[in-house]
Amino acid sequence: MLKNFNRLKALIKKEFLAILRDPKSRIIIIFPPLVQLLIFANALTMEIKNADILVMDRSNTYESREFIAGIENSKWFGNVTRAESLREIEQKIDRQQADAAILIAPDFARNLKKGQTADVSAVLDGRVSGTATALSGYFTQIAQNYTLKLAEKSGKTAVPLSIETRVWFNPNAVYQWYLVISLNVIMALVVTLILTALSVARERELGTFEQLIVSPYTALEILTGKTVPPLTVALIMLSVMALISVYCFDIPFTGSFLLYLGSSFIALLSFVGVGLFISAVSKNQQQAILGAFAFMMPAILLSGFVSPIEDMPPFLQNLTCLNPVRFFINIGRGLFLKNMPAADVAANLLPLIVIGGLTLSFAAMTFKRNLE
Amino acid sequence: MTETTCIEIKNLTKTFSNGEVRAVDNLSLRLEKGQTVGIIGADGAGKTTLLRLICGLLQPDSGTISVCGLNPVTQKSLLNAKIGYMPQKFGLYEDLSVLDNLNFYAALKNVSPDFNQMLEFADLKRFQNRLAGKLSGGMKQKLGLICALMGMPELIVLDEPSVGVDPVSRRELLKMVKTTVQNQTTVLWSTAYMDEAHGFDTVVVVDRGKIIYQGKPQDLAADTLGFENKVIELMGGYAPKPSLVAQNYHLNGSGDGFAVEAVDLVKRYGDFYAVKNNTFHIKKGEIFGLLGPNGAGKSTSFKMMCGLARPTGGTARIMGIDIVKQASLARSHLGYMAQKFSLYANLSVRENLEFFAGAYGLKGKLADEAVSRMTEIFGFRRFLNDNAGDLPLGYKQRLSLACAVMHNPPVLFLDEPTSGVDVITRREFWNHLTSLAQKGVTILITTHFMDEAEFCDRISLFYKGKTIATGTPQELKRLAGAQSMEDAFVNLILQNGREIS
Repeated sequence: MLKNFNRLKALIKKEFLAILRDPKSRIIIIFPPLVQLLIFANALTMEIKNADILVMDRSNTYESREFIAGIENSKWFGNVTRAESLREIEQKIDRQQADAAILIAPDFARNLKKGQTADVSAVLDGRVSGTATALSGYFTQIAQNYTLKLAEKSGKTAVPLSIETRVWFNPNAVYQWYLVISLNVIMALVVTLILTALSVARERELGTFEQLIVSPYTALEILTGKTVPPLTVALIMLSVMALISVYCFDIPFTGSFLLYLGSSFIALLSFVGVGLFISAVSKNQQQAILGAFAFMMPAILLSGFVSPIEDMPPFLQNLTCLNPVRFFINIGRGLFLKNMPAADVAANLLPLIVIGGLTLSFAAMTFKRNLE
Repeated sequence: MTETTCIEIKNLTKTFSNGEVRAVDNLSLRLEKGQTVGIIGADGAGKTTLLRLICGLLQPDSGTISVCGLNPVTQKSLLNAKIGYMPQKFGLYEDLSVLDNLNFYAALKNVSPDFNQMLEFADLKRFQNRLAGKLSGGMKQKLGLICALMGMPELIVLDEPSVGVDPVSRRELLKMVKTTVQNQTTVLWSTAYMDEAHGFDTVVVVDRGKIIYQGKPQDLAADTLGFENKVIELMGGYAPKPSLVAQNYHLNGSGDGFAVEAVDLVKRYGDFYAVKNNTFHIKKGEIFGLLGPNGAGKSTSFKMMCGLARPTGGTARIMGIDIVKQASLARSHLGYMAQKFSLYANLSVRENLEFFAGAYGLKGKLADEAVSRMTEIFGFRRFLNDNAGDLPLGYKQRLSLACAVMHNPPVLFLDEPTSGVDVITRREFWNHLTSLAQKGVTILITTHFMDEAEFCDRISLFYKGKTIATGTPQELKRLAGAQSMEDAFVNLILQNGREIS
């Protein structure tokens, strides 16, 4: 047994060296996390800042001016200018000189004083739906703040609001938080999948795989040897990225970090299983890379990162249950932002364990069939 | 330059790695038209570089080349129509069918020859719709040659076309070339087979970028063996030294009995039997050669016996241990050397040695000792921290052998270990093997070099999935009524071919 452990150690050491010496693998370890830091997190935000707003105040009262001041003081908007007519609003939005317009009805102050619902209309540019959605959210929030303030002042209960949107756990709707947490998972997916997909394929291409098979290593040992190094690399990377998320992006980590590491380990195992399976059926490194991307694209699209799973057609919703990325993102968001209890983590881990077990044994089987 | 000159080279120099490596060094050469010229020399002597310079695939540092009256660099497009070049890997598109390859090369050379006749001639008609990558080595070679011959070039350049090809296919290839070329066609043929070179009109021996001999091979020696010895002498000579590998070998479990046994081995793919009922027993300390044409099933047998392929039926035993039932244990008694260099090119020599020491269960002090022993024996000291992929060819081959023998296995499996290796390195290699066998190491080897077959204690000749003859080289020669091993090989195959068809 000790002899076998020693032999396994030699293999693991060799696999580590193979990753570090292969320029392709080196780039894959270093590049994606950097990209995440420098580009994605800053550029890919859906948070809208510096939106230009038109305001048409037909009420022209103390109350309406106070409401407008709320908009002007908000950090989300750029220029807030007065519009004189509906026609002007129409033209400016059409020419994209303004992103949205606010119309305050003539009876705004009157209705407020009576304690009735006061109307404020928002005109949004539907052609840029992302911006429109974000801005509509901001307007709702400003309106809420305004009514709360009003209620405080008058000592009366707040005027009931027809729209009630509240973003939980991420009170400032800082989109970046979601993005960074999901990106951590996706980067780990990219790194693990490509490293493992390359590992067997590289050996097969260079002819060293036969040499490995002829040595006394068993299929299980080769599988272990090929699993440990990419898993270790990805686990270290995930930890570093978690630290960066907390200290550079000020994302709160509310759950247990130990639980996060443990879940990452299991999730990565399922990624490794997929990667090794792809590698075992590929003839060369090109095929392996293509195979890895063929898996990654749908896995990312169906993970809930790009669009919410609830919005997908039922068929695709069912399909996402096979997707390890989905569950890992759930755990990541949960442990970072809402102190996910261990029981809920376990509920997400269970599918990961099943997927990991299946893909790994599948990889081992393909491996073995190719061996003998 | 006269009418009869095909190639004229004056003071040609070509260096690589910023002048550190002088691949071709102030070389001058003149070749007449209509000759078949053999280019021979050690690995890295500059043969391939010279051929590539002649075809205009490389730019010389200095000196002049004139090929068919043209400058290969400045007049490359004119020259292309006049030469047919077949690179070491045949230059075929492996994902295209045989016919697609022919069509492509015909279009490239702007000719429309009669494919039927060519395919008939090469006996490839049955396979015309098969992918080129799925052809056997001998068939790929013939197809590559057809493509190179297309458009009746004035000069045919063949860069080691016969590496890893069996004697029967090699003879067919030679015949194809001799019958197709016209009187005025010049053939440049680089080869590692001395018997092949001995049959050419002229040989050019290249050593360290210079030409050390040019003339008729018969002038050097009348027979192949004498010719080989002369060539070795020209290249600096080889004096057999006692093999340090064998001296330092610690062999456990010697004694009587069989080291390797194949029992009714069968490999079937669908309806096709790659190997039929193969049985043989190899005694301890024997050198056992597996010979046969490409695609005869010897590689498949070889692979089944070391656990690279699973037998459809039967089994093999290594030192009495079943390779199917106890694969890992059986393999621990094996040292294996693959056909092509298959060590980790990205790892250093030391790291490769350390890995293989660990893979075979050597640890701590024992592993360190094994690594330093191999370093001493094979002279790796100055390469220890270099990447294995950057080693000179001869050293790569030594490293492969070192990794195969460092755990002192009682059995060695060597799959065409000398393919593409020059004649001196081969002599040195065989010196190690015969010394190891004397110490009691059992060696199973496949080869296409018939002179190497003579070194084997016993030979098993494979054809169409079956063993057609087993015995000592003398017995086989007697059986075939032949003088040389090569004739014995060809005769036995042809006899059997007739019986079967």
